[in-house]
Amino acid sequence: MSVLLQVKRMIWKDLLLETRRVSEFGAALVFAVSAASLIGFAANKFAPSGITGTLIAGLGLVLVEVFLAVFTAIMGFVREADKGTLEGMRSSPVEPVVVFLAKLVFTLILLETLVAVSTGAAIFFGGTALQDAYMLFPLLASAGIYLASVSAFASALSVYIEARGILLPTLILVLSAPLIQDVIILVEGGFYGHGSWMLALSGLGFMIVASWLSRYILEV
Amino acid sequence: MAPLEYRDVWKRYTEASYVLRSVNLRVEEGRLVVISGPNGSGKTTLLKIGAGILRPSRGEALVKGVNSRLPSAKRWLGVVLHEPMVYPELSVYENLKYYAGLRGIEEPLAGGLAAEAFEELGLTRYRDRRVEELSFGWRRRTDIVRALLGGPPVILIDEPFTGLDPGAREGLASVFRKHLARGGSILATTPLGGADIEFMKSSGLEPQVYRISGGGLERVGSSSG
Repeated sequence: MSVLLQVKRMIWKDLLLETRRVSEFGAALVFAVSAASLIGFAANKFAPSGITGTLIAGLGLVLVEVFLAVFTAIMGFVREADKGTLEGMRSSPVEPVVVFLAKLVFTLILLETLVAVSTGAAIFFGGTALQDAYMLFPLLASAGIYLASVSAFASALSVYIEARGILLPTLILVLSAPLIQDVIILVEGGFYGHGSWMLALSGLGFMIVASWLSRYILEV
Repeated sequence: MAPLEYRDVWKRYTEASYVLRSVNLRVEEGRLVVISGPNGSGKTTLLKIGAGILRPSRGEALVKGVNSRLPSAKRWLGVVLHEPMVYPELSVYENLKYYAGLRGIEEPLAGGLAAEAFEELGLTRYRDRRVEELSFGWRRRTDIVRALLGGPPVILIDEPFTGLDPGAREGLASVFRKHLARGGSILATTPLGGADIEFMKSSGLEPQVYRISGGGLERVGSSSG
């Protein structure tokens, strides 16, 4: 059986589960919209015209994305472990790296959906201050690749640790620190268009490393 | 080559002590091997190592000569642990379809032991019910059918009769008999002093019983000698 087919089946199962567990994705959605609308409101207050509002929103939305990565980490391997279904995946004839990749792609889909919604909410509530904020989307989407990898990695890493309530957000924040620094530099430099490619590449790099490590992480 | 074999398996979770100490065990074709012991004696650990979801500290578990941690070995294993591994939000059939898909099977109930167990355990009427709507006993039955998908030659099952009513116990015993008659193997655990071993004997399953104590195994008897 092809690896791609196994990955597709696992992603499809996760998406189906998400439509039936509306409370978890719903909570992440409410958080994304609330935080983004506040960012839009603040941008409009402090810089109603010019590019400054967009810069403020860019930084704010990346921080929101980091918080959303904590949500998606909980909705990943952690939830499988809590429900006892992680053992079901691990006792199936599937390579650990395939299990990890499927969860990573699922996390990426969730995160990018939330990024699109939060960016839209910020633009909507930002008024004139954020009329050019659609330019932020490539930057935030590229950051999403890195953050999805971090989220899935942290989720897998903390599955068997009792203190994961504290460890998980800490791990994600620490691993996201270089990304946040990069975004600040890129936004401050005003070249978020080209910088997005660099972020996407770094995201792909981390994705490869995390996938390689997953074979050790998903075994006790 | 035995369908399932433990070779000098040791396991410890902390530096302080070993849960398993030099366990050697062969589960032959057509045989039911039962590990009996008190809570915390290492029964489930032994099962998980055989299932390839726990790495032994030393030694190895082999399925038809292949390390049980490899996906190629897991294809020959059906694993049932104490907690059902089915998704509560999916229906019974959706769960079976998903897990069958991971084994490269399109239709989970097209035939074989899983389809027979589905009937024997009375799951037909709950086929499209979500698992979260079912009691523990019915979840457990769904999980047992899940483990039989693809007809794996080796079944590893933790306390097989726990949570099952008398009808389901008879049904499961019948499934076990069919599996053993076809040359399959079963490794099961039971709590110490439980009535499961007597039930297995009276159901014609002829278990080989081992007691687990101090991390080691000790053969305590077999109805067939």
